[in-house]
Amino acid sequence: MSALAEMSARELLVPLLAAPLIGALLCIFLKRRVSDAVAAIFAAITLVLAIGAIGDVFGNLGDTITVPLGKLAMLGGETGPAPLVFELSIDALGALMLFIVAVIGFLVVVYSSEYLSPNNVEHPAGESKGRYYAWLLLFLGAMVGIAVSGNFLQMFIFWELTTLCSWALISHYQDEASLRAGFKALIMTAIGGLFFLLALVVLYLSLDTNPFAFDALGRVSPEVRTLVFVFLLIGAWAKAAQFPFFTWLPDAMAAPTPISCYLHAAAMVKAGVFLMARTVSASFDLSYGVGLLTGLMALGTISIVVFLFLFQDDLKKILALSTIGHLGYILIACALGVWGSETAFHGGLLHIAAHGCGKGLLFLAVGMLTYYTGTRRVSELSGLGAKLPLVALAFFVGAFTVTGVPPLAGFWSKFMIITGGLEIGRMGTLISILLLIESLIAFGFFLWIGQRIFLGQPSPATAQVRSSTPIMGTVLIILSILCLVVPIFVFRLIQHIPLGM
Amino acid sequence: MDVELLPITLIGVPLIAAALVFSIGRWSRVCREGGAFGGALLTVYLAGLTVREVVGGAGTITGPLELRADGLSALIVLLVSVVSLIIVGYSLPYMEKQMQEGKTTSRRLVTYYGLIMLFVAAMMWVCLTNNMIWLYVALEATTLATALLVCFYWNKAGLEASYKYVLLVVTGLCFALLGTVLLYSGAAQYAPTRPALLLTELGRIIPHIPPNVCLLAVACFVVGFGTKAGLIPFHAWLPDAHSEAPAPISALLSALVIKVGAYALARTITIFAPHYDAVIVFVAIMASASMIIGILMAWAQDDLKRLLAFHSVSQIGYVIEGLGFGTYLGVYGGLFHLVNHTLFKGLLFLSVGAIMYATGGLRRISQLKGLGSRMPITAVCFFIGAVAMGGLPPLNGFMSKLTLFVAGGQLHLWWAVGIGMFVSILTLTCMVHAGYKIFWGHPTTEPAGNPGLKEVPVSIWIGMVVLAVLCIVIGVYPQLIHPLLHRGTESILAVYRAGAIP
Repeated sequence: MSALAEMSARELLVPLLAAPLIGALLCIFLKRRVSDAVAAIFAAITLVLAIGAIGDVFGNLGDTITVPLGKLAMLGGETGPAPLVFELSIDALGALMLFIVAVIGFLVVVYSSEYLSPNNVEHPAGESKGRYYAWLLLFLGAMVGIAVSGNFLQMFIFWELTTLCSWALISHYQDEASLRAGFKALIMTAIGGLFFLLALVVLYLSLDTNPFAFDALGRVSPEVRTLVFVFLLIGAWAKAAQFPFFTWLPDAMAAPTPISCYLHAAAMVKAGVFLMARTVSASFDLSYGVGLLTGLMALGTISIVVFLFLFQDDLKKILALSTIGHLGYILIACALGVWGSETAFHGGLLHIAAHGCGKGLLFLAVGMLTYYTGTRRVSELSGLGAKLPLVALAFFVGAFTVTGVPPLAGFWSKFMIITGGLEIGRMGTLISILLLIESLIAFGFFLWIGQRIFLGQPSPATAQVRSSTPIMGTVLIILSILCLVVPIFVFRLIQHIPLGM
Repeated sequence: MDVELLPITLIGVPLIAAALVFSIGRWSRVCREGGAFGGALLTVYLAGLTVREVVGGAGTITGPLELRADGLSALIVLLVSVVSLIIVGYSLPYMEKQMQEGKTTSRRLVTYYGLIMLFVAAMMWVCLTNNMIWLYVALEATTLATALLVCFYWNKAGLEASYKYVLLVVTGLCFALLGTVLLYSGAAQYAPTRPALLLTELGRIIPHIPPNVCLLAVACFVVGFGTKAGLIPFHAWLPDAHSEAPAPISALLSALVIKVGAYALARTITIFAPHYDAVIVFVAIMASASMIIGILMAWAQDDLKRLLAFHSVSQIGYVIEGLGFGTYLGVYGGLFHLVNHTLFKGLLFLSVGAIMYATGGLRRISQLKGLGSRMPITAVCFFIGAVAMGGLPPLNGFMSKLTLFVAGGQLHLWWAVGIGMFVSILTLTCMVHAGYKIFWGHPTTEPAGNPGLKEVPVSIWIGMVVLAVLCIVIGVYPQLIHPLLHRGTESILAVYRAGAIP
């Protein structure tokens, strides 16, 4: 560890990106327990390297550490200098994303080793876990890549790689429903990706130097800026499952639950909002209109999903719909940031971490319920509190985190977003009030769900349950603690994420 | 060896190999298959020498008989030699099994390997000649060599496909000849002392030719070489020929044969593009139509080989669109996509061949399910090819498509960029859809339920793995072939710059 502490982030970034990819390659050829161990080791290496890099960012807050890797020579044209396309960099915003990706990634890999077992009542797992871990680690590598990308084009490359991993992992069980769901997710996110690509093409044609740099939006004319912002926004909508693309996410719940937790709550869908946060953070003078578009679409999405999840019986789909709503929160924070509220913008960034931990915890808790009972219908579950007290505790901690009960992380982030909204004037106030109402509805709903599942008489599906999974339990405890302490750490980071330049 | 002799050796070696196979191939396997494989191997070595000479040295090699190797020639020569080596290597076990199944005999295999080497020689000639008439002649030679390979099984469907192929392509190429004649008649008076039809002289001559003659000649070239390239609406031969030929020959057709059409277009239309804006738009419209119709037809296919054939029609649209743009990025993107398409389409056809090898000839999507667990290597190769063709990073198809989109944006042809992107997503979904239908799911019936089904032998999958690795490496590190592509693009641009009015 001391040798690691000596290394600066500059030297850590390349091994950080390489570690999960090497792990993924190895896992292809491995089976059962060996693949469990190898995957966990490589996820742990990634985590350690990530912590090292984040520590370095903490040492020089406000700086950006960049490692240039290579150019795309043809884009320079015949003679012109080629833009730097391959570069790794890390700043406070990247560190925030990297933290969530690496920590939850490691926890999910560890959790999977016990979840994918023959004892799993819902989906008894067979011999070959290698493929699962290979895709999971490849995804981890791609997410690390998004977090440490130095420009838009590089980010796009990793962005599409996550799309690919998402497709393969959703389809993991290979039954008809999951194949369809994976395909649907692939189509929808790839369509969004095209708009991202279009934004890149427009940027390249509008700028002579560093066309793909994050601050490029600040250097183009206002019309182009609006156009590019809207293209990026559409890409983010598809990735973050916002209206009109949101339907892929509930279907994607056909994936194994650790995947739903990591890809569809904590990491991949966050890539969409991370892109918007990057854009808003690095560009100034965005028009009022694009803020309005971002905000209203997010508000619309939230209203739709609140309505939908009240009538949902499938636990994972409830969580998926709630995730869509919370991604809407972060986009609203970005919109408020466009209108000039730094508090709300920082609240949104904190919400990336808070929701990642809280919703991740909820998903993993639900994963354990299905592991024991084989069902995820609310109506078939009851009286589990006495048998699985740890899961009950984790479920309530997760639910309180995402709905914003003090002193958990979600409270602070929502508090900042809503306060920021009140700073902005009439429109912001209206948004804040609507968000408050949504929070109250969600809070009540989650209380009711928790009460249904964990209290009362045991139902037939839950009669045989006996707790026997120490690893999954430990993961739940760690995440529960994170839900409490994550703001302390993230607060220091977000202080140094600028809003516009 | 003397550098000037490299071009003629490049044509000579496969020609000698062909002669060897035809004459003594009957005697034993070694003479037949060893001759072909050795010839292909030697050709790769010579192609490597040529590339080193062109990229590292003078830039061009001028040989006797109006042969000339510049960046573009070197690029295509390398591509042809490497892919034909892989295809010959793949053919060895594949055709052996066909013989065991009684679909062919060892005497027919003499013809098979001999024709492949003859085809390679003709391809080399196409790439290395500097004379427009010889270009036409060599193109016809590639058609004839492959036509006999298409009808290799001598069944009704094969003969019909082969007949259609010869009829359409030869008729089409007549237009190219007409275009050449038009150019010559227009140009002869301006270049009385030197041969008017050297490709390198075209740029200098074109500004003197009356515009309407020029545009007519371009239209003839697009029709003629477009037929060879499989451009819509001259594509009708392509799906039949691809689906009836033996699997390695399908790969050869899609990876190489249609590329010579694109190569010939690169040599001709790109030279007109800077002088006439109408050419750019005309070619872009033709190419976009090809992309859209090709992909729509591909969606309707159940036969995997026909599906891939229609994808070729669609993808060649990208190549020709880029070449038609005539700008640095456009030509670069077109050539880049040509290289990439050769790699991933070759890979896909060989993967389908592997499926047919393992299942005893099944190639309909509806007949196949859940093969992935039994044939993991084939599955991975197929998906890499599919995703590369769909243009997802970090695979090679993305890099070339990105270049093409940027080139289109530079010319403000945003509609063409939009169509390109839209077709790209349709390609991705079509291929992924086919892939998961074949390889994923839980098989309950034949053939995947058959316990005898197993992965193809090493000698078959090694070629596929090489192509798959190339797809990934070029996608992750496009600098690798940048010098070659840069030289190729420069060599085209240099020709028309010679004619630019100062």
